[in-house]
Amino acid sequence: MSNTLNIKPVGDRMNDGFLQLSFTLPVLKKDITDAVNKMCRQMNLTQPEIAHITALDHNLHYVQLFARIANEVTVSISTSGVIENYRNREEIEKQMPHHLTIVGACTGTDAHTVGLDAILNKKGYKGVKGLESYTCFSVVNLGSQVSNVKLIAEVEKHKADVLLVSQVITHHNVHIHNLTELIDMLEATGLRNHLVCIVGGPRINDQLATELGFDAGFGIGSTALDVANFLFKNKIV
Amino acid sequence: MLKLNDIVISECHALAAEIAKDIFDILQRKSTIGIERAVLRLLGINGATSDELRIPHVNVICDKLQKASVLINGTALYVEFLNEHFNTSAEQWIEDLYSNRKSLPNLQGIDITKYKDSLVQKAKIALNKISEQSSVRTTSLKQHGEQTTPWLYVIVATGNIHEDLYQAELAAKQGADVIAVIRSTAQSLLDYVPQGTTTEGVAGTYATQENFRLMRTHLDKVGKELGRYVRLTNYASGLCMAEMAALGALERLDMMLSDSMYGILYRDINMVRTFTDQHFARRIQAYAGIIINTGEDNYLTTSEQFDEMHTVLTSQFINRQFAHLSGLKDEQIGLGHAFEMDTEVENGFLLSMADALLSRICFPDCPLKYMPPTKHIDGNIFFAHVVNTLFNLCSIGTGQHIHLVGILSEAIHIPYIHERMLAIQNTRYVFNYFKDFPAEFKIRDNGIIQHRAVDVLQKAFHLLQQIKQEGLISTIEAGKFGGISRSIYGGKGSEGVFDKSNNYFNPFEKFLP
Repeated sequence: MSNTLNIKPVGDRMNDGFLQLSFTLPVLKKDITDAVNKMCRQMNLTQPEIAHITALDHNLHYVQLFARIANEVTVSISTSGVIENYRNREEIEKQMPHHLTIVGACTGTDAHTVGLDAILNKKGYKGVKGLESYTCFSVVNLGSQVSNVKLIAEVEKHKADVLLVSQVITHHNVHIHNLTELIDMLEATGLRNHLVCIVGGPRINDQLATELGFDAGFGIGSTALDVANFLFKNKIV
Repeated sequence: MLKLNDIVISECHALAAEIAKDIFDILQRKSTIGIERAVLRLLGINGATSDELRIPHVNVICDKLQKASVLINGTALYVEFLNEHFNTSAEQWIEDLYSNRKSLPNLQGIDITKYKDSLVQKAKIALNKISEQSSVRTTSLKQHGEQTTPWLYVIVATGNIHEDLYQAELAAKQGADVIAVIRSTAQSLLDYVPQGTTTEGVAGTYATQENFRLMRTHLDKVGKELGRYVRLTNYASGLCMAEMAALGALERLDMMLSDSMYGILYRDINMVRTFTDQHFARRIQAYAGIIINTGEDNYLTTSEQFDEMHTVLTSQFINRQFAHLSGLKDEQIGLGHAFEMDTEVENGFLLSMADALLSRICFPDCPLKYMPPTKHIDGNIFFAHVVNTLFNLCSIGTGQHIHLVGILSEAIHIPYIHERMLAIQNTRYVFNYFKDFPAEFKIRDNGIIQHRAVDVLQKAFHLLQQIKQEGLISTIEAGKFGGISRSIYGGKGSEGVFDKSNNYFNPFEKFLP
């Protein structure tokens, strides 16, 4: 169930449209106010109030400012704050129809395993236990810098039901190439159909993931329980 | 000051020395293709093939010598022989070999020992160049004086060396004492050093000899304007550890990331390859007066500081002994650790202070490298700035030496130009505001800090005893460091390790510490 609503950002009062911004402009000190005003107008912001300016160089200035956005947007909103049928760990463990083997890795050149470990490792992150702690899952954490070729070999070796890829480095879109290549290779080897493919990382979202051919994407703030709930629904339906 | 049992600390040092010595006995019999390339780089072979692949000449010749099964004798004498044989510059005959215009003569059974004298002369010339570079550093530091500690260590990483120059210049002007150019992601897994000026790195800039030179020249110019010496850092890790050390020495880098075990754990590089490479790399760094940075801080990104700080301390003891075996003096050994305690731990600041003080006391003459929080930074930039403030306080409060400035956009992106400014501002504020803080306070007997330090030291002592018994290799196989397990036969680059023959000759051997 959802309704629509017209909204603006909230600062001092509801829907007053106040924003805090900061950025650097390559202009001289004497030109900075004018440049900021023009930049704000371009962004449909009114009442720009520059709170602070730091000179980074004679022609490079950092500003912190507050401004008001004129436009409102129409959004659909859920009527209930609770996500439908969201289960806790015990419920998932009891109701999961099959035991699942999950293979996870940071692939390509990525060496950042913080996200991968937060989702997979027993300890989890911020008090939410990782998938390794679930009785219904077996987890193989391959760590960092795993090539797509090696990852596919491991999926076959462990007869994995779920593949979980973490991508942190997204500078110059290096992750897009890597993820697309992985899906292509899985399809070429005939493994894709039997495998639930998940990707996670701070710059990942569900839309991007499904566009790239994954079953789901998990972005910033996602927990192991979110992933477990997705797997549960995926296996029930 | 903390009250620690001096006998336990000396026991830890002694155990670590024995642990390192056991590995040292193995690695002394070995060399690697990476070390051979480093030798040739020191001897001035620094070109690359003229086609679009730009394969470094040192790779072309070392691969050919490996195929000819003579790598076990060392490469340098063969290069001398081939110079005479082809009677052209090395650059020319390597290019000719590469393009199949010429082919390698049969190298089995030829007497190459007669080239030793001329080769040793060339090695001396190379080492003189390095000595000249380090005396430029010494002279400048003498003239301008050394900066007060903790030194502000700042990273730049645009991917484009020209953009890096400007970012580094601004950082130095804002107060940075050390500039580190982060390498393009996964450069550590390249089994060659890219060539020339580069503008297309991902999450960092390729480390190349030319990029080193450009940054060094620029920082010298900026330093002159500022009236101080600005230090430059890059990485001697990965498959080209020794080559990087050679280039760093030739181009006057002042610090290099150089760990005895980091590549094994975090890059899955073969153990024997890493242990062998790090030894030669560090001998070059010892000679060049480079300060090394070790990578124990990384353990706390894959395991929790609250539970695993003793593994950091244990590794510091061992890393230092490996460094000593390569001739590095304590003043060149920047042992790494970090402010990574979970932000929700009660009294986390006191525990962090205990951990930082403990390293300080165990290694009083080492310029410790203290790393900012990353593991528990989750994208809330304002909170990250606050946590970094406490990191800064812990650093000045415990007398750290090399302080990697924490930036509010950690875990989001490569820092923007103004984010670096805000980070330096925060750090300078705290370092000045709390300048004499440590001298004014005494650590309470039987307090939280005292208890934590004793506990961590005791655990490290037990772990060192266990490692001594089981061996370092089994300890790494069991996943004791950073929760990461690696096997002795696994990892990348093992095909580049070989046993030295009785005729093996490396002209730098007898001159390096």
